[in-house]
Parts: sequence; C-alpha cells; structure tokens
Amino acid sequence: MKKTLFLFALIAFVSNVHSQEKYFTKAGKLGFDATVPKSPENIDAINKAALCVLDTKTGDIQFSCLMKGFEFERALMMEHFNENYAESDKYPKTVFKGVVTNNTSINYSKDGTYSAKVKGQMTMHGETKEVETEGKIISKSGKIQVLANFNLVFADYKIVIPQLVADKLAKTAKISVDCLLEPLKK
Amino acid sequence: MFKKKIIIVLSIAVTITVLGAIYAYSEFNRKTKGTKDMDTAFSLNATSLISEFEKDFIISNSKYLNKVIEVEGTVKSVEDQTGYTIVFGDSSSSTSIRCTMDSSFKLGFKLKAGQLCSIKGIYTGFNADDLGIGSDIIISKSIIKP
Repeated sequence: MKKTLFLFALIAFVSNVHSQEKYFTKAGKLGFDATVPKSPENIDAINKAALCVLDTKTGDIQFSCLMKGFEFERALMMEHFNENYAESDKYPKTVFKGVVTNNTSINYSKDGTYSAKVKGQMTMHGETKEVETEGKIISKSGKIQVLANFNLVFADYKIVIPQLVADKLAKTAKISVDCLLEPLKK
Repeated sequence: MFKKKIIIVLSIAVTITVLGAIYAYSEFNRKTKGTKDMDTAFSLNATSLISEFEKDFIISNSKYLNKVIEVEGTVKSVEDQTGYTIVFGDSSSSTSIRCTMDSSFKLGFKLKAGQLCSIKGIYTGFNADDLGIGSDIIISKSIIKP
C-alpha cells in the first residue's frame, strides 16, 4: 500500500515538474527613458502591467503591454506620448514575439544567473521590426526573473518627433525589462 | 500722445508675454491628476463589468476607455511584484479585472483574497487571451475607496 502511494506521489511530482515548462507574469515592469543626455528634464515612464510568457523548453518568449499603461510624472508628457507619438488609441498594444537563442545553455531548474540572448520581432505603432538584445535570466526558488535593456529608435516605428521638441526628446528610447515569472498552472 | 500709446502697447505685450510664459511653465510642469480628485464616470460591481467584456469586449472597451470607474467586488488575489495589483474575478471565468495601484498610494492595511473591496481607477485597456493566460480588464492609477 505504501509503495503504491509512493508511486502515485512520484508520478504526481514528475508530471508537475514537466507541466512547469511555461512561466508567466501579468505584472512585468517596463521602463521607458527618452531623456536627452545632460538635459535637466527627465522624460521617462513606467508600465507595471506588462504580460510575459516564457516557454523554458523551446525558449519562446512573448511580451505584451498596453501603451496607455505607461505612467509619466508630468501630465503633458503623458498626453503627448499617447496622442501625438504612440497614438495609443489607434495602436493600443506593443507586442514582442521572440526566442531565447541560447536557451539550451540555461538550466532553468538550477538556481543561478544566466546570460540570455533574445531575438524576435516587435510590433509597435503598427510597425514590426527585428529586435535583438542580451539580458539576464535569473532562476531562483522556482521563479524566473527576466532582465534586459535595449534601445528603441522612434523612426524605426514611424514615430515622428516634432521639430519643436526635438531637442527635448531623444531620438532613441532606452527600454528596460524586469519581469518576475511564475509557473503557469493549467 | 504717441509716447503714451507706445507705453500702453508695450505694457499689453509684456503682460501677454509674462502670462503666456507662466501658463507654458505651469502647463509643462502639470502633474498627472490624482485619481482621488477625478470624477467617477461609471460605478458597478466586478461581476457585471466582467460579464460586459465577455459579451462584447470591443463595445465595452470603447465605452470605458480612459474613463474613471469604480468597481466593487471580492478580491481574487493581491500581487505585490511591482507595487500592488488587486485582482477581481472568480474561478468560473477566465477574465479578471487587474487594478494597478497609483504610485502615490500606500496601503494602510492588509488586504487579502476573499475580502470585499471597492476600487476607483482609470480603465486603460483590455488584454485579450492571446497568450493563453486569461484575459484582463486593466484599471490603472487605482486607489481603494474607503
């Protein structure tokens, strides 16, 4: 009887381990910084409700966020960002679909910090562009943290910066990604 | 007489310039309005809001987009990853209401799943279930109503 119970427990454990191939969050943090170097005016925003799903088996990784979810300190910046640049009503979401290209070198089941190379396509403002960056994947206590920084050129996504504010707004925004992923339980 | 006219015109021009500069400065530095001070456009319970979106999220999205709404319901979960997120919903539906709290908001008490709670925030958008992790009604800059 004890052996049977042990066997059932073992099967349940193994199937649980196998089901934890996908990890996700709905509270990922995306930072946006388009401050011109040496400018006293910080043009930055944060989105605290980004979605991220990582399949540790295949390395497939996806991000998605609502443009209106970016919070700016100054109201005018937020209005300009949503109305004039990102056109958030017309293009409400930004989506990244990619893959961790060195996925086989990451041992997700072992706690540690791993370098990750990510390549994929980002769709923003109705334009899709190839994005490639390096980041970190930290595996700790059954959770996975994804950290990355990359630059985003506004012109690549047909976001036009008016001449009037060209000296206040950088042509390239620094994007930071910080997502703590939990196992996806089906 | 001519000198007097010039003085008047110059005074008006200076006044307009100063007022314009003050307006431009205050407009540039205008902070985002706190949710507490905004007028509520819609007030309803969480179950009704979820039902509306499940029926037709396109119509519901345009109805509520950028509007201040008050939602009352039973808390499904409280997440504390990047500031508080209070989630409304139940196991019968794959749609939830996710309320990210205003950055100035400090929770003065412990909020748990199962508690009744009323939230005021801005409806920001709808995340359809594209990634197989359920769909979400996103409310940002939320505060808990006393």
